[in-house]
Amino acid sequence: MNRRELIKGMAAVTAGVAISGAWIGGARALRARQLRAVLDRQLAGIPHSPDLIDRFFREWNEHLPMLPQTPGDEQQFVTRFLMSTDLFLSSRDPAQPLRWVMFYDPYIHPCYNPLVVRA
Amino acid sequence: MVYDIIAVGSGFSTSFFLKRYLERRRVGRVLVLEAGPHRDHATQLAGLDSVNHDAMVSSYDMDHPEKGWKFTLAFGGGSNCWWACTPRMLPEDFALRSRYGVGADWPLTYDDLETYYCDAEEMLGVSGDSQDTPFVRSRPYPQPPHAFNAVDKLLKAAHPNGYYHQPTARARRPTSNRPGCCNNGVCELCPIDAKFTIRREMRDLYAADNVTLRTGARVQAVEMAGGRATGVRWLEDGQERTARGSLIVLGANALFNAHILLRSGFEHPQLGRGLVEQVSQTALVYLDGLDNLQGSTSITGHGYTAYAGPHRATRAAGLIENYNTPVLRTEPGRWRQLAQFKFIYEDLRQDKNRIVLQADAPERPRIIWEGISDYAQRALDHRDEDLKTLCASLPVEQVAWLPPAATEAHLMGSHVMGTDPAGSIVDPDGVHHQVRNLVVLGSGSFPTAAPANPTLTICAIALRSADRLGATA
Repeated sequence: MNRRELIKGMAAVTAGVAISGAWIGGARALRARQLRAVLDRQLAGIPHSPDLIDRFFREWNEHLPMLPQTPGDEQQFVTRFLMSTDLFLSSRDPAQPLRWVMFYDPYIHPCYNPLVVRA
Repeated sequence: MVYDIIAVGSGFSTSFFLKRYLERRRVGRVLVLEAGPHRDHATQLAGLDSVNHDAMVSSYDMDHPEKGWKFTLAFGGGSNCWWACTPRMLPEDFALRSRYGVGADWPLTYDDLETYYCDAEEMLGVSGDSQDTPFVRSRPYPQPPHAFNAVDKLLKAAHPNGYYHQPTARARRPTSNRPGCCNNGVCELCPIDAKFTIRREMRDLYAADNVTLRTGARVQAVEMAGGRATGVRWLEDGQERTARGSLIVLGANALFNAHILLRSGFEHPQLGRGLVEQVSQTALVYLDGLDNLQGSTSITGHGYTAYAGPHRATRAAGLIENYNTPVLRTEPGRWRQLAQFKFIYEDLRQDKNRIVLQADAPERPRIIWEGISDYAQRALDHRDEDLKTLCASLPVEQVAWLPPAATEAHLMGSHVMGTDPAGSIVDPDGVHHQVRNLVVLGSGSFPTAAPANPTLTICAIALRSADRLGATA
């Protein structure tokens, strides 16, 4: 392989990586928009801060490697989101906007489960 | 070095046997050989793996990968990955043949084990309802029951004699050794160690001066001379090692116990045959207007509406678990209107399902699995009716069945116990019929695979064996 062929090969590889990266990034952004719509639908009619869903996405991306892809994963996604808010807390005032409590993940906050009745 | 006892495996059967035996008798040196490593809780959490999965799947071969198997290859065995469900077997489970004309009778009865069930429940710290229980009991549970959820309460009202709190070794209240369960729903690897584990709760046994635990010690065979077991041979760090012992106790699991016996040259028409576990399928029940999931642990209730009765003459009995793990619906406002029921049906030992030696890989057993029995399949086929009976009082909107589970993680039946040496490998004490200083413990000895989770019965039988052998040794 001469120098010109080497440069051409490297350029082709670089372009391939860039295109793949852009495609993956685009796919991820599309999936994120779909999931955001799923979460928006959950909160229809419930007053909430506009950054509630942003906060959840930030925490999700911090703790978990990828966005959910299957319907089963999506159910877990919704569960995590709703459990991360004060939606199920008996102390919640429905007239007040929904609040963030903490990212629901048993391996991060092992005993945070707003559904449990301990009595 | 000659040991008084050489035990193989460090799971429930050997640990409970040794604990009781060493209390009963003055014993010199004890060697425990565990094939897996010592994996502490932090290590398991770091890898999110209580099974030691890669080591598990590479420890055996099989012809049918669609059939899953599951066990922990590490110190403490199945206590690492179990969900700590501890129902007893019912009296009729021990008499399936004589009561219903199918399967086999056990050489033990419920009454033989009742006091040992109580002892095992004490040691495991079981939470349960001592007053309202399907089991005849001589002593109360050591811990109170976990709280029911809304569905449990309706089912209890509808089936007062067919629905109960699940007995479980997930602590309701903190103990001196572990915190109380907080229903995080991930019992296979509890983040706070709220379930009983040998690693945590029996460390004193393994720390005793006369007990030596060697991990990474994969036993290859029992050594024999003059009709007696004289020791064991194992691989450790790539080296073959041997030790001599007066009493040899095999408590690996139903897969490896049988494999070790086969590699040791034991021959019997039933050895390695009859490998069995229960079969299960989970129903997602979508509720209309009933909020659920308030209970205080991951499985709150046990349904017995498909368990005992004359149907067992034709189809398998089933135990129903009500899962309280937090999984929500995705329809706004109806998030908690969901119940999950797992129907666990017994199966029968079949000779065709077996463990064999393989010439090209003698250190690994091969599992030949040709399917569940017609008896169990008929129960699976009857699941809709069983669900309808259970849920008649619930506001059911729709039902979705998940595919049958690949495994219940309960290997049984490969070195069956009995009173007749022609048809069984060990006697009711777990002693090998021909080699009287060789004890083979665990669910490999079970003549049938009742719907109840086997661990409590494994522990009770191990305690009974230790009591009886400790008294006569």
